[in-house]
Amino acid sequence: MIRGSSFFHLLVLFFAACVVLVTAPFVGMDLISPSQLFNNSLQTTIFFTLRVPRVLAAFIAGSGLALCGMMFQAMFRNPLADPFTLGISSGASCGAAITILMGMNGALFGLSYISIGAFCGAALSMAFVYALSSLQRTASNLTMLLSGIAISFLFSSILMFMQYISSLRDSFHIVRWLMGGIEIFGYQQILSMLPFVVTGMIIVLLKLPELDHLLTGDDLAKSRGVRVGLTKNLLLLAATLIVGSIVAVCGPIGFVGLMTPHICKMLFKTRHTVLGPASFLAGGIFLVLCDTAARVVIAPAEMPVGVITALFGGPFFLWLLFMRKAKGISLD
Amino acid sequence: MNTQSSPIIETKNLSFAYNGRMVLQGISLAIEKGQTWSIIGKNGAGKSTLIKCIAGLLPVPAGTVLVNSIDILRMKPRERAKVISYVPQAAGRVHASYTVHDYVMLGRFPYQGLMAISNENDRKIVLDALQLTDVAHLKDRLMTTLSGGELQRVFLAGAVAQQSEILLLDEPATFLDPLHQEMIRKTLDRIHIEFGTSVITITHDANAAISRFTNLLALVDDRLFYCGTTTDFRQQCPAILTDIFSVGFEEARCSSTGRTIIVPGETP
Repeated sequence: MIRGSSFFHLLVLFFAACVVLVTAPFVGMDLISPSQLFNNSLQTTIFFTLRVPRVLAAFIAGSGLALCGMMFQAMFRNPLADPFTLGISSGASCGAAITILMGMNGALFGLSYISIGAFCGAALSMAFVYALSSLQRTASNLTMLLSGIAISFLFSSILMFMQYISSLRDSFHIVRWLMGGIEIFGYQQILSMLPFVVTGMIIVLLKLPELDHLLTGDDLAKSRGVRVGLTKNLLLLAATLIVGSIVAVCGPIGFVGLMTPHICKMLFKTRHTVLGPASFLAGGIFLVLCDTAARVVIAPAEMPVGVITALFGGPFFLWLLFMRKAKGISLD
Repeated sequence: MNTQSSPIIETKNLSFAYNGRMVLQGISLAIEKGQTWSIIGKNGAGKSTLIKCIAGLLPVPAGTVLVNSIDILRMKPRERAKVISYVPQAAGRVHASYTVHDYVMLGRFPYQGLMAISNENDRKIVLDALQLTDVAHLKDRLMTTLSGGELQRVFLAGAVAQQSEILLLDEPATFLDPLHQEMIRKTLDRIHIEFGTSVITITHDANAAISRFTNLLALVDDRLFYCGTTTDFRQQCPAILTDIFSVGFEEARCSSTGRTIIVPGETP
């Protein structure tokens, strides 16, 4: 249920998202004025074939990662849970690194082999979490989080090993990929991830009320008529689709998934029917802003967006953390 | 009461094991509508497991739990939730900054459709539940700012909003001061009287167990030790309490009110 001030805040966020989405493509190495849009100049091409798809990709990635982070935090009742603590990003990185090392260039259905490797890696580590939750019915949330961290370390050391044995060129390629970036080359990549992301998001959005119940505890949720096992499995599936396809295209972008939901929890009450749309919008806005900054800060060169997210987001989050104390808002 | 009516809860030869260790063995009991039950026993005697089995939260490997003559494990989750509500022991841990109103609204889940959109009726029932449990004045407060006694009453409100015939509680008053313990008991009495809810409560308070409930159930070493009316149980006090808790109990008469209370005494 959305009431009063929550509705107003969501509306503000929605308009902010619209403003950011419309203005961000004009900003970049050089500003494009609206008058240049339809005069068939070089700027027109840059605007429509480079910047618009890039801004769209940033928004999709930011909103998807934020939504998944929020979902994991509720599901595991742990404020530290996000696509990365569960080992999904390291799985994806590992997959990507393998394809780089094997020198697999080229693309399949508009997705580069690196992306496909990343998707497989993400799906693999998610499958571990999934298997643990369905095979071991009594597995506690802490067990799942711990196993996620173990998987994360496992993949990280495989990754380090591969970097160690690889050539300097491949090694740099891997490091660059690990920093995350939205160097989209066109609409094809967006289209290739969109079906997965949208399917996953629809599942999460439909299960938002259940997230409230999962957060209050599995037993209580069950006693309220929530199909706990089924809901968790569906949500894990949704997360695999969303995170897998986003990481495949944009690389592992940190901070958004972990912090955006927390920022929303400080601004809104923890009702997931409100928090869901809020995290979606805020995550999208945040990543578009960060990506725009990545294009501008050291122009004409570009920075990896993964560097920017924490650089700007970190201090902002800490500031919120200090400010919230008086309000009695819990982080969980 | 119509003696032909079947019991609201019936367990037949119920057993349960965690990782091969028996925690409940051969529990058969029948609970009639309108009764209130206390469940007593030592820590680890299987009390929490028993009410979780009755609530349909645990798969029962042996035996059956019938609620209104229907196997609890065959009921659809939402249908089950309309009949049985449950307030877990660890409910005291709140993980999020819900407002009291939003939290109590969660109890309406089994009645709501997709996206759990609440209607006028839901809001009215939540307000009534808040009033019944004396927390209406807290409705816009955040859960994280409440005291233990307030929290426990909000949890009760959530269960009341669920409008079930049966209410199962796992030690709702254990960590509260005497005033708030009494407030919880009064609230439970009110729920029972107002809605005819069958209240089943785990408690460690022997005096409350033998005076505030119509029936009593005692577990000793995973087995049913006593299952019957509180009146009969009182006849056997305090000796039977010693058998249950392995601690001596004495009766003491209060000189001013003439009331008899039970106090732990010398261990035999």
